[in-house]
Amino acid sequence: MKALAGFIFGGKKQMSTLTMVATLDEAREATGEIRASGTDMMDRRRHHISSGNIVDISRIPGLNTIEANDRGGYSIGAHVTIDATSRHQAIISHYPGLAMAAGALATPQIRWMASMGGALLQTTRCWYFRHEAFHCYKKGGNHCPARAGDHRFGVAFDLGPCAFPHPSTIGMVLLNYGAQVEIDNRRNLSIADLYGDGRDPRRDHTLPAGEVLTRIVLPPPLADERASYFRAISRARAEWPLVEASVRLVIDPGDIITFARVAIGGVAAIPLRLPHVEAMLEGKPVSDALFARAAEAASEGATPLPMTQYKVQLIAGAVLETLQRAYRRIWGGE
Amino acid sequence: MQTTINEKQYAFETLDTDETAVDLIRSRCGLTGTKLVCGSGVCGACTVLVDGTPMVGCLLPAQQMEGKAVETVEAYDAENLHPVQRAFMAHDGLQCGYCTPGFIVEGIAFYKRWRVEHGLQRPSPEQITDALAGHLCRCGAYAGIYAALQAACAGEFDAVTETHTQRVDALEKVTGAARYTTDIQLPGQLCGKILRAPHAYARVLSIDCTPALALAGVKAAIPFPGQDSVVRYVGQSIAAVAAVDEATATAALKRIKVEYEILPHVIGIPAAMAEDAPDIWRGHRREAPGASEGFTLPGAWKQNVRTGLLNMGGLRPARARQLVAAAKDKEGQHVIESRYTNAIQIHTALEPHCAVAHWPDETQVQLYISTQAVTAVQQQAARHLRLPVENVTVIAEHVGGGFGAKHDLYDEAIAALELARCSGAPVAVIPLRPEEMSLGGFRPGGYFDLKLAASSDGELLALVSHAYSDGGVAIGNITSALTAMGYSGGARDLRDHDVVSNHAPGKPFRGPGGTGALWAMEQAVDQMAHELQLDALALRRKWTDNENRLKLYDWVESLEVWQNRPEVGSQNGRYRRGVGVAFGQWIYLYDPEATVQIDAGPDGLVVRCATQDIGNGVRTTLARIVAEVFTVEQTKVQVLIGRSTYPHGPVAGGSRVTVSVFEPAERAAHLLRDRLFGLAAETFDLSAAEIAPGGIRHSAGLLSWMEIMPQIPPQQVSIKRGADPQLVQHIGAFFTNQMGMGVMFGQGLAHGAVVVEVEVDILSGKTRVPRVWENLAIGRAYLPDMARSQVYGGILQGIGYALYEEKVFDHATGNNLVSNLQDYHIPGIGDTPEMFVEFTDGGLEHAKGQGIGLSELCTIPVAAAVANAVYNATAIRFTQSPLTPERLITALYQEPNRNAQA
Repeated sequence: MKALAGFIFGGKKQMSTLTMVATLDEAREATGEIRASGTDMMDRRRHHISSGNIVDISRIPGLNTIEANDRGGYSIGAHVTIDATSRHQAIISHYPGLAMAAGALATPQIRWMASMGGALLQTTRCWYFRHEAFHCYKKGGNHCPARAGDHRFGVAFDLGPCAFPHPSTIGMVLLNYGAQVEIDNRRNLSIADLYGDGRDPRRDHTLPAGEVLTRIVLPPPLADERASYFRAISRARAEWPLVEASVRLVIDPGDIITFARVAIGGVAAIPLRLPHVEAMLEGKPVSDALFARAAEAASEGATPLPMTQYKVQLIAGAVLETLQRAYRRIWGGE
Repeated sequence: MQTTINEKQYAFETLDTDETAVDLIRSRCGLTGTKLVCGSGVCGACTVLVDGTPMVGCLLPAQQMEGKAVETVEAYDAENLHPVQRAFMAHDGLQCGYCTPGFIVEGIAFYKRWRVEHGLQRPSPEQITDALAGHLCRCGAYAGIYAALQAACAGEFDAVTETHTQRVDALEKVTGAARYTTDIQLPGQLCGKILRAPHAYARVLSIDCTPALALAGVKAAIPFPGQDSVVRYVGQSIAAVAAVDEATATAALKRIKVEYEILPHVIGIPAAMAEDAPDIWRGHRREAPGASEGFTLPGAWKQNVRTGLLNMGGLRPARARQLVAAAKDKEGQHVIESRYTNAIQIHTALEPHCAVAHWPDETQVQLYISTQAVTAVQQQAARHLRLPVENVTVIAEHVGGGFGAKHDLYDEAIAALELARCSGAPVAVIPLRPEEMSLGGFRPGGYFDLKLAASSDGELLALVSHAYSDGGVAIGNITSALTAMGYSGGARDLRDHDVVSNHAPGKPFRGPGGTGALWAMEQAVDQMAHELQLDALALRRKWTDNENRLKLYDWVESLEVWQNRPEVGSQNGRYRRGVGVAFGQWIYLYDPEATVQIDAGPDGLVVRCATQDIGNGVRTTLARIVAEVFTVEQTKVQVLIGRSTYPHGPVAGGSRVTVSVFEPAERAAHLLRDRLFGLAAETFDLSAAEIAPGGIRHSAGLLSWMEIMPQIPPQQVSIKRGADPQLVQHIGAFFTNQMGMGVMFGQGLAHGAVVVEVEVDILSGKTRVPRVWENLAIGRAYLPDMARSQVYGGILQGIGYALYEEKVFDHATGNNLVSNLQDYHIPGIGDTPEMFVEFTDGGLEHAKGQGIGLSELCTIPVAAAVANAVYNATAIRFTQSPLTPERLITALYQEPNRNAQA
């Protein structure tokens, strides 16, 4: 089904199309930016950040469920909302860090609307990118105005020419869960590969145009996992994180950490897992001192920009808070 | 696309590519209760229920409404009120009402979920915060919203049919029926847009609008009137177009050809004060706009710095400087010397600056406008259009917030007037949120170089306060005097400097100059007390002779939270609790011309006044006064305001509305009541008649006013407030007598005290404000419930100033970077403290009505109290606002000594 609409561009009356596709094949054939729930895109379009054709995939069936998969884990359809993810019993029981993060991000209305697929593939929240007046790598330009400008919300690990962190909380948590994404119902890609190494400033993810992220594939759950999520923000609620952290721990009856996963977001062009911090934790008995050392190590290798020095300390604070919450099984959030 | 909206089936053959639910609901269905504010899904004003689930209509693609059942606030109209709406009315969960429809539909959805899951339990504030985190209210009505939702969920409004309401217009606001300027849809109305300059400083060489006119659907395209051929800030109006729809108007703007000669620009004080900085007003200094209300005091320019010629401290400022210099080396004397820096705060009214103009014929115009100043705008529009004043009708029935930014005939209104005249059709000009955030005005930032000298026993020796204000291209900041106004004694050197640079003009903002001045002074006083090892109140007592102020000191001392405050720097844990105090004072302004007219006739009691309700509640004030005199319900009194054809009303600025209309309204009501009594007694030949609650008691029973009015000739009483009796000549009266603009300086000051409790998390850098106590000595709070609501809002805006709000520029281009509500952080519902508000009566008996304004006073000392509380908690003196996690973390860990003083 194709809905045509008048759109005027560059002074010439042109037609920009909105195509409501019903299958993945139609999505591949259509040209335009793919729209799921639209929570990211419609903001950009209203404020003249993005234009051109839209390919709406919200009517592709079969992507709206959370189900056990044949790998012993669970699969989350791309259309499943963030809210549904946060409330799903299996997710809460088996992947508590994901449920917590999904319940804590954005606002209730956004969580009810926004899809998990869209949450992974959203575009940067950089205030230069989202300003009509600025050109940048992500708009087809060849420089980053934030570098010479005001980048107080920028990266603390400087991986590539784009100075703003990746916005996806869900991506950061799924990285910490070792999840994969399924593309076009066919091939799988790890979250790490979905985001690449952060060196290409033009992209928020590596998915080629026309390909549709169809599912999130979670590995088998761990028994008795303790997890938490925390974001540092200035107000009580509803703010993009200055720094965020996800922690997963398994602790044996002798209080020895047998498994640890730590990831941080809001600090680099991609979400970061911190294997060296995990290695510090695994095999050690839980102690305040251990958590403090691990938190301090979390910012190791940070390369803050002139205005993001504060994030180095904030990373330690966020990781420490998340470790403590995970250990004490405190349901997380802001 | 087929969808159901409020149980009505709709089918739309074509949709625009970018059309969203809120666009469709508002313009195609005419359901204007749903508001478009941020367009980014942050503020929740556009929230609608989709199959029962709240969603933000600004991000929901219209196509995705296919097959859904959508509910807007209009589904719950006056005949069909939901308990949540009744609760909002009773608990005053609203002020200007612009955000209210969003809160209502979200609240209804929450109520329904809550009932299923928890029955009649009372939700905790935390649970309400979680549910309502996607809504913003700039007036700060959150305290009422919490109370309303708790009561509604607990079933307190389930069986209610007779609705108690604090505000007389609450019913319109909770049902979405209240019409704001953005909601005006006249037949044939066009969409107007303004072309904004992309450069911070440039010469305009030529403007060619003809290519825009050639586009189908474009009805007018004009160079912006009054454009003086130099652009001095990004966003300055260059041209304007009117077209059949928004997409066409946007496309037309792109076709206008403008040639610029780009000039090197400067942004902010340091750059503007550099020796090689371009002198941006050179040759045009008289054209610099004013950032203050009313008049601009004389000043002398040197490059981009304009220094006030009056030293507000008096005739011997050099003495103050000498005393400070001497005190530094003198045994037994102390000096506090620091630079206190203020961020720029954006008003962020949820209804943007907008206007709809309609010319019924070539000599008459109707201007619907979101304004705080119906009468002033009428005069300015008449002057601009060269029309007799009476040919211009200004209408502002409901106004979605102002806070000082909507006093003038702003560019959106000029564009609407000109485009409508040119095209012959009504034109609406409603900017997008980025335009509003960048150009809608702001509270100037800047810094104070402040020096305070005192003797060891606390005698105030000298105050040197030099203010440097950043109001963009605007001038006329009067703020150094506000540092000194609260205290007596000592020599003073008070200087104001405007430092102009290439960004949009600042505008008055609720207590102009006051928040920054107190941020500096009240912190300096606090620090002085600390260094002298004197109690903060004991020190202030030595500098105070005002009775009302002294009463406030007593009140603070009586508070347990103050008595039990921690010692500075006594805490080492992660969460550090602190208690801080600050005091403020504000001038007393009123409008002696304010006139209230009351008619009694077949329609009952009708009050008219050309003032406007921007959330301040004057509609309720007028109704309540008249209702109390007649002992009838306030909803029985019809109040007609917001139209320039009514008798002269005060501008909603300078805290002057209530103090200007209360006394004449009360006097008029008494006069009218006495007249009705006499007429009725005569007409109906009543014996033993006397005025009684609700009417006239006589030998045969009670005759109600409502029965009397239709049976006697219509009566009208009109009362002008007039000036207060002048006790002594004072300098303020001198200035306002020169102004002759419906404003008068009254005698005396309003004083306020605020005590703030903070909790600083040194791990995440977050500062929370759990509780605030505020006491205002304003003579008398006319309507304490309405006054309290305003104070709650003032406290919230003060917290925003202290902790979150900052306009940030890209210096390379002059663009505002916080152009949306994701990046510009105003307080949300979760940032609401528990608030304890009191009023101290008396001391201002000379004012007609015995009470003076509070709207500005209630907000200006709050930020300083927050900073003092953070000092109490952390022993770090934060001189720069706002106190974000970034600044806290930096001060705590990276530059631990930078901000600390001794």
